[in-house]
Amino acid sequence: MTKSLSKNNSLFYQVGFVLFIGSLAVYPYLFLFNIFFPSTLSIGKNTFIFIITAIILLCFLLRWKGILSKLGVGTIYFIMFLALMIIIIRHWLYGEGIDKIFLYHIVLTPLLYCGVAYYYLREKEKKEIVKKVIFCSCLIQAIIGLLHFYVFPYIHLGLSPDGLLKIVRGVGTMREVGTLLAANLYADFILLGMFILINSYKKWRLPQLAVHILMFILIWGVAISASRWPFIVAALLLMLYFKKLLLSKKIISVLLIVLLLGSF
Amino acid sequence: MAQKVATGEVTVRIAKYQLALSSLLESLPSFLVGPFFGRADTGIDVTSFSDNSYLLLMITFGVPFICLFLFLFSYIIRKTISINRNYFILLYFLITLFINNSILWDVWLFYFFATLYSLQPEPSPNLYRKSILNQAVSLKAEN
Repeated sequence: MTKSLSKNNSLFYQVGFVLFIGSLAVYPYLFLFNIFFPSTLSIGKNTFIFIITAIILLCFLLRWKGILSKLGVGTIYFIMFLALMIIIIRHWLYGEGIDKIFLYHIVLTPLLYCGVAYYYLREKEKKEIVKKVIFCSCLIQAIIGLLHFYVFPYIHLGLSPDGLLKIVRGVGTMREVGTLLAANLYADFILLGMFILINSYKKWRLPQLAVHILMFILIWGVAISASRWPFIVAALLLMLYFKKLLLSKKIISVLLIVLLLGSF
Repeated sequence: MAQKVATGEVTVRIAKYQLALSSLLESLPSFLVGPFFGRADTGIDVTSFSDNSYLLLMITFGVPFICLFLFLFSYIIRKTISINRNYFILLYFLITLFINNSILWDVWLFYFFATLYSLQPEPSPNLYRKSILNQAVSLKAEN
């Protein structure tokens, strides 16, 4: 009995992990799906985003007892109870209908994502797989952004009233949004790839030149979004990466010459 | 407020913050459970308010709940990761929440937590603490 239970638990864990990886891999492109195949639920949500959220919720439900015990059952139940009380009080005070209930997901989603990530990322091998998936997603996003910004900037991706791909010619370049349809989101998304790369390039045994190129692509991707805060963080990460190199006199000299030439 | 923004007296972001704060502080129920959504006079609408996730949360749930929520959430984070090793990424997360409505960016939140937990060293801080405790207990038993 115990053996079959643990086997089932292990199976659920593996299924949950596969769903978790699958969600990570496809999530950034779901905004595009809605442009090519417009589908919106009656609650005003993108159907594809709703499906992926449901899949992440399934990852949680497959191992809910384990996840809750890891995060602290009392804490989670206390937050849920208070949120429910607020919803009831607001209903009583302002007469809010059931249609407003979806607005309250903003306290649930961070807990859900935090719990699922913490639970499924306990083993070293799984962490390595996830790091690679995240890094590849961020790199692809940066490449898509750069291609769009320089090669076909006349195609503007956006949710027009008819929900179709909008092609506008002669408008010129705008802040890059990648496939995420928001400049700040796009920049902050790529930044996560930089965090992973700086942490893992030694473990992955990438050649120095390859790391330089990857870092350059990511920071360039952030730069074309024209988002100030992600760009500052990207510059700090770059400084962190070059920390050892910056100490050498040769690099300082090259940087000074570049700055001097740039000032003309 | 719109006039102040138009004349450049205040930036749009500051104007939004002022609007959200004045809406929160206008009455006791607003402070405790948040103001009524989509008010025509203030223009505060939880579905479109941007530039600060903390204010967005306060508008949605009121100030006391959000203070408690943030406290409990930080407790969970402290329990599950090593703060010192992840100081930079956590600081980045908190500031990003402050200057954007990033609490609504589901894809980013999902990726952020996956990144955060994939960067944790082996073993996790809790297990490490437990193993130290176990060692201490076994040493005491030996003595």
